[in-house]
Amino acid sequence: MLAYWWLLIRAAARNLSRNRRRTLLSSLAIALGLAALIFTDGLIRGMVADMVRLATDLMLGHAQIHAEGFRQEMELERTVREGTTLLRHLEEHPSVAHVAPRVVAFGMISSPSNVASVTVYGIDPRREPPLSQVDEAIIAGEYLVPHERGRVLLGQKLAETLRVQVGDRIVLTAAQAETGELAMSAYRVGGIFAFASREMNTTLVFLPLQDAQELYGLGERVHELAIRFWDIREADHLSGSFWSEFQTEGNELLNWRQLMPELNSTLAAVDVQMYIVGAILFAIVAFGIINTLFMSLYERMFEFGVLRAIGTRPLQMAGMILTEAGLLAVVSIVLGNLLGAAVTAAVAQIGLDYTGIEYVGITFHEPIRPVLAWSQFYRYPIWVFLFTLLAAIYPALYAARLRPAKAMRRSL
Amino acid sequence: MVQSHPNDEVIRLEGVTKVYRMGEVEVPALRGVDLVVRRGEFAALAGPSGSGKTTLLNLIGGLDVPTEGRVLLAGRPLDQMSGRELSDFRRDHIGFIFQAYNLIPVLSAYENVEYVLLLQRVPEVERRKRVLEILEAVGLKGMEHRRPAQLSGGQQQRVAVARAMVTRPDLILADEPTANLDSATGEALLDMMRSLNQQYGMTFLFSTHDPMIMERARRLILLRDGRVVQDERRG
Repeated sequence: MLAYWWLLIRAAARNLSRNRRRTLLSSLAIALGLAALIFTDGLIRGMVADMVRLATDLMLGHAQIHAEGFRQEMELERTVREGTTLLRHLEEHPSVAHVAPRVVAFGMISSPSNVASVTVYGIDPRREPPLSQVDEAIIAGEYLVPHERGRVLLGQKLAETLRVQVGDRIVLTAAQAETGELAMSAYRVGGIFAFASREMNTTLVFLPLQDAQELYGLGERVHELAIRFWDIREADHLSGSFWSEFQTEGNELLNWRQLMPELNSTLAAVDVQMYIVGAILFAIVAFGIINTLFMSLYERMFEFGVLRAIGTRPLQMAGMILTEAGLLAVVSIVLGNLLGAAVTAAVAQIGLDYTGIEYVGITFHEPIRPVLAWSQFYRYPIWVFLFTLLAAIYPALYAARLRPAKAMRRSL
Repeated sequence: MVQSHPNDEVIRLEGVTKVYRMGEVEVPALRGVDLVVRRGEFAALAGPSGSGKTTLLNLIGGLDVPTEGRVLLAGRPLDQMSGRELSDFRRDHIGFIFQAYNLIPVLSAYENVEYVLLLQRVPEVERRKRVLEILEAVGLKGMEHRRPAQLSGGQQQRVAVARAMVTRPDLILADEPTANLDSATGEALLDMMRSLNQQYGMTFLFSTHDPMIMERARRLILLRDGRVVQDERRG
């Protein structure tokens, strides 16, 4: 049986080389479809990686710990249980690269010219830089200096609203935890930041952690522990030892997908988009494959009649067509993989300019670079191979059903 | 081998009619043909174009189905066989030779002959022995690896004969096998087939216009307008 199939494969290869131009054109059509899929996948990977990086690098980190219910109401009293102990343990954990404790609360900011309601972030100037990009976003003045107190960082828009500059004084007013008493404190503007997001530039104020704890009467308590792992994939191992260790009573430990559900659903939609793009591309290619196989079949109608006459079974006839289609797919896959790799690598060098475009609340500020991955070179080729065989089923059944005498008459 | 029928009948046709439909028009090709061919005969179906010779061969070979009547090969009615059974029956018991475009162009002479043996799953050593033997018998030794395009018309027909005979079938159906050959090549091919007929006792049935075949046939069946009008046996 092996010898029979080997002869079929040889015959299929020779049949494909019989009309080289047609084979090349058909292969190119399939190869272009495959290359387009590889490129689209690479582009989406690049875009997703950028989005995840932008989202997690900006402020989020890879995971966060809060007191249960804090994220819903932002109640001042809902601070992380055993926050100081957890912070120490987290810093000692081998999977964790960095941890930053934060106070997150509402407040009122005022200058001699204006008043605005803001979200106040109390941050540890030493621990914060690996977890957020505040230090990189400074456009005037300086980032907070560890152990130096009494300075705040304001967003560019907020500074414009308050008509203040670096070195000017502002006053923060806040209700304190437990007592609800109003506390007021004066600070000097140490720096002005500009993120890509207008909202962040309008509503955020950063001040040293201890100043924030004092302003809100929190003692040593914090609202948030932002975590960065050595490997972002750790954030997806929800059943792993890290999660059971730090998902402590009264607290909730959430990964970036849970913290940004809208981004996560977008990423899930991206997969569906890939299937749709793939289906459309292959539907177009399928007509090409069917057309090629039928042209070849009609051209060799007498030959097929003879093959049936000398005892080739209907299913063996179908097998011949499918072998030819399979071989066409293999040639196309080689071409498509080369083409896909070349185009993706070339565009990755240049990058596609998406600067300033906002998507799901994330603003791109660098060109998107498609990413090559091994899976692109076996996952989509398998699709192409199976799809080519699927498209070949119709001509294969046609060949199987040929009545020998009719086939021979039709060709004359 | 096909089981020997009590009367040694290889072919029996009973009231076979074939009508082709060309749109609304019905074109009768055969009108109630009765025919019996016995083992070892070397018979020719003759008649003008359109008399139904090829149609009759196609029906006998199970390549087409009659509109009415029955075709029996060695006592087995073809209309009771499934598509697969019919394919296997043709593969094992019938050899076909057509007038042209007979061979698979992408296969070499050796591979064309070997193909049917592969279908029969004959082991490699035996397959090779039989293919080389039959190619030598038809005078193509040394040309085994040539493709059809590298062979003359006569050589191609010899490969077709070799392919038809390599399975040692009971019946060889040849549709105008000399039509595209010059007379010397045609005569040599015919001599070869006659000697194989005598040597192996295979039954040959030709359709032909060729007076040379008609002269050499041991039985001449004349068809006209889809009917057998003359059936002559010679010493």
